[in-house]
Parts: sequence; C-alpha cells; structure tokens
Amino acid sequence: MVLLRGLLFTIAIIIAAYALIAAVLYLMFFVDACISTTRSRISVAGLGFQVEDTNCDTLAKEEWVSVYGFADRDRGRTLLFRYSPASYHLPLPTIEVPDQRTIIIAIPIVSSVYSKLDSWHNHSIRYDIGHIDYP
Amino acid sequence: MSDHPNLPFGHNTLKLRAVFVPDGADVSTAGIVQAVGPHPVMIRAVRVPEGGALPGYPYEHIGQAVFIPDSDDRNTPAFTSRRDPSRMSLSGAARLSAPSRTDDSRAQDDNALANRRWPGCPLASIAGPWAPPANPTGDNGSSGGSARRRGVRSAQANFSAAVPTPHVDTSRDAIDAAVNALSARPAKWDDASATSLAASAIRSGALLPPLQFPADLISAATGDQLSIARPDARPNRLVSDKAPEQQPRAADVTPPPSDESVAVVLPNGSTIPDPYSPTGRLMSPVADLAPVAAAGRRARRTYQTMLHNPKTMVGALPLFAIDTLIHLGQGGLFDYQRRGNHLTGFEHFRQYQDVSNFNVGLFCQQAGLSLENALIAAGSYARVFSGNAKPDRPYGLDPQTYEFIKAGYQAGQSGAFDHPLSPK
Repeated sequence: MVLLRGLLFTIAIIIAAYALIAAVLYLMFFVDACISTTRSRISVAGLGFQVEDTNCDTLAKEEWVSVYGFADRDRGRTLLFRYSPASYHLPLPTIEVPDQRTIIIAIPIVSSVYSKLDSWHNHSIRYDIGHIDYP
Repeated sequence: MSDHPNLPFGHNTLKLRAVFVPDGADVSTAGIVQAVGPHPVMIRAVRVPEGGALPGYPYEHIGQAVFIPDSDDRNTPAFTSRRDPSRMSLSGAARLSAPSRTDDSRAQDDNALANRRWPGCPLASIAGPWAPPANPTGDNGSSGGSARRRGVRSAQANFSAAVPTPHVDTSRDAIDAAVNALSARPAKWDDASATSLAASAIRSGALLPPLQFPADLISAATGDQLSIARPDARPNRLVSDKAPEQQPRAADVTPPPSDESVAVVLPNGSTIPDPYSPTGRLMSPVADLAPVAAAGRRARRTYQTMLHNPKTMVGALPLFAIDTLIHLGQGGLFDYQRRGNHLTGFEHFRQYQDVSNFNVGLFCQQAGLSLENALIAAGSYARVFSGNAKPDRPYGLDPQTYEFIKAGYQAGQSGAFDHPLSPK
C-alpha cells in the first residue's frame, strides 16, 4: 500500500512537472508567436484596402502578407489575397481600382500564394503576379 | 551566366541594362521584374546639380560616368544637340565601351518588351516599355527616333569601376561595387522623356540583383552628379581593414547578433546561395554558424546521457525540447529574426528569416533528429500555433521555409560542421 502510494505520488509529481514545463514553454515560446503589422492602408474609389504583414515564429519561421478589403457596407474586413513574400526587400503589392468593376492587385514576385479571392463587393479581382516561386 | 553569354567582362567591369519609361509615368515593379529579372533592389538616389553640395550619409557619391548611346539614340534629334559623350570622363575608372545593340540579344529583348503589354499592369494604358506604341501607325511625334522606339528608350552601356579599397565587406561586395560603379552623366537622360530606370548589373561573372532608381535620376542634367544610398546603408559598414578570410573565426560561442548583415560562410570557406537575398547569398548577423552546430551536438549528448541514466531518463525528452526551443524558438539564441522577450517585446528582423530556418535544420541534424522528424516537428508547431497551415504543402510548411530547413539539415549532414570532438 505504501509502495503504491509512493508510486502514485511520483507519477503525480512527474505529471505536474511536465505540465509546468509545458506551461512555461508555451508562455515563453508560443504566446504571441505571430506578429502582424499593418504595412499600408489605402482608400481607392470608396473601397478601403489594408496590407498586413504577419510573421510567425514557432520552430519554423514563416511570413505572409495579406491584403484585406473594406467596404462601406462591410462590418469587417475581407481577406482578398494572401501570399508568402519571396524576400524582405521586395515591394508590397499595389492595388488599383481602374473602373467600377475591377480591382487590380499587382506584385512582381511572390514565393507562394495562399489564397486569392476572385471577386469582392461587385468587383472582379485581377491579379498581376510577375512570378511565383512555388506555384 | 547562361542568360548573358556575351559578357566577357573584366574583373571590375559592370554591365548595366536600362529601361526607360515616359515622363510622368510610374514605373511598374512588375514590369521591371519582367524586363530585367526578379529581386530588384531598391536604391534611393538623389541628383546633385552641377556645383551643388553632396547630400552626405546615407547617400554615397558615386561620381560620373559616360553613357554611350546606340545607333537609335544617335538618330534622335534631341541627342544631336547634346554634348559629345566621347569627351566625357568617368571618375576613377577606365573609359567605357559600348556593345553593339545588334549583337546583344538583350537589346532585342528590349524591343520585344517595347511591343508587349503587361497584362493588368498600371503601365498598360500608357506608352512605355511595357506598352505598345501609342500610335500604331508609327508616328514618332516630336520625340524623334524610329517608330518602334517611340516612347521607349532602351540603352545599354558598360561601366568600368575601380573596386573599392580598402577591402569591401564581402557581404555587400557585389552591390556596393555596382553602386560605386554607377554614375549619372546620362548624356541623353536630361532631355529624354524618361522618369525611371531599372538596371541589372553583372560583375565578375556574378549576376547582381537589378537595381532600380527613382525618377529624379533620369532628369539629371549634363554635369550633374549623382549620389546613391546603399541599401540598408550604415556608417562604416562598407569598409573593413581586413578581408573576411583574415578575420578570426568565431569561437564556439555565439556572438550577439548585430545589425550588420554578413554572408554565412561554411567551415570550408564556401557561402550558401540564397536566391531570395539581395546579395544572392544567405545573409546572417554572424558569418559562422558553427555555434549552432555545436549547440545541437551538445543537446544530443545531454539527451543521450540522460536517457541512459534511469534516474534522469524521464526528463531527457522535456529537457531536449527545452534546449531546442531555447536555441531555436521565438527569440532563441539562434533565432536571428527575432530579438527580445515577452516583457520588453520582440524586435523583428525580416532579413534573417532564411538563416533562422537554416539554423533549425542545422541544429536538428546535429542534435540527431532525422530530417523527417525535424520537418514534422517544425510543421506541427507551425500548424498549431501559427494558424496558417498549408495542408497541400510538404509537412504543412511554407515551401521557402521548408527549403531552408532542409538546406540547413543537409549542410550539417555534409560533414561541413563536424567537430573533432564530436561524438558522431
């Protein structure tokens, strides 16, 4: 009985130690692992756009850029385009609204494309992507 | 170099390729990339009128150079009113020579570019290198020149430059040499209806990233000088008294990351290609990654020692995880892309993302993990904590991240970091 109690106590101590370690690791390395920065915010033809850069640092280090759209009728923002930038020194995408039906998002080079919306808010979205490293 | 077979340049010679767009037009980066290749480097530049004071840091005066026009340029009425370029000189450098446009395939590419439309590009609606002639009948208007070059001024010239002395920090050697070699004595740019220029430079057989200049460069008048700010320029960054190979190799202790980028140098003296870097090489705050490998080996030894001791075996795995995270996790010793802590906040260095991923692969390899386990671990953490999983990609990782973790692993696997005292 005493042996069993000692074993259970030891197991409990180990589990508690693991939990404590896990909690500390979580707080140290995984809370706020992602940092998002608004790189630009523009308003074109009554439509608002926001370009946001997000860097996540877990074990792997990843970065992506998101283009969000705002419209008067929208309460929130809509993700239009998300991609992984090929390099830190390359320019951000440019956004144009040449007419009432079209939005043009242009970027010379990206590493990979995560998502892109084909239309939004009665506008078709055209993508002018010069090169995709990982199509 | 396969793209540039006609470039028998000497050691200190640069070849520049320029694409001009009309006055008032913004240059499209997408168009530039299409014209001169990916990874353009943005360099701020200012024009200094003749007799004007130089702007100083962060701008670096780069002297003057000669523009040698091709035959099409000579045919323009505007050119004939300019000073004879053959009388111009290049400060501190040899006389220039111009390749024949007809012999250069790139020149033909320019003309091809002049007649294509960049789909969806902001420039698509205006005359420029990415747009067709405004008048399909070939009316040249007042700008002169042949019909196919209306609104398009493509030029190519060789620039000779002295290699900066004393020794230039090799991490930026190529770009700095290019910047030092560039100059603004554009015989025709003063009155050409051009506002922007993109150029790629080739030096010593190595392709440099294209350099893009702002509009005011093109409007330089004869006799003006040009100053260019080096990318990420900082005082005293350029000149070093010692060549890197003469500098002492870092001890098995990690120096604090600095803001100075240097190329990673493997123990065998080679550098690591990085197509995403402006220099073409993997850049890091420290050149020597041996401490990363050494820390990985230490983690492996500690893990094995604890695992084989019944009293400590239960803590072996957690300690290994902690060891790994301390070195590679957010703000870790070898996580060069982030510095700081949760209390004071983290500072992000985007330029070191690739080398930080490289370190993950190198550390894991030296710690005894298989490549698959390293990638699974990295992908799993990313999936849980970054919220941006890519199920269609190997291990759910971003392809570029995957590539650099793998490259780091393979560098360790190659034996380049094997240590005499290594248990391997």
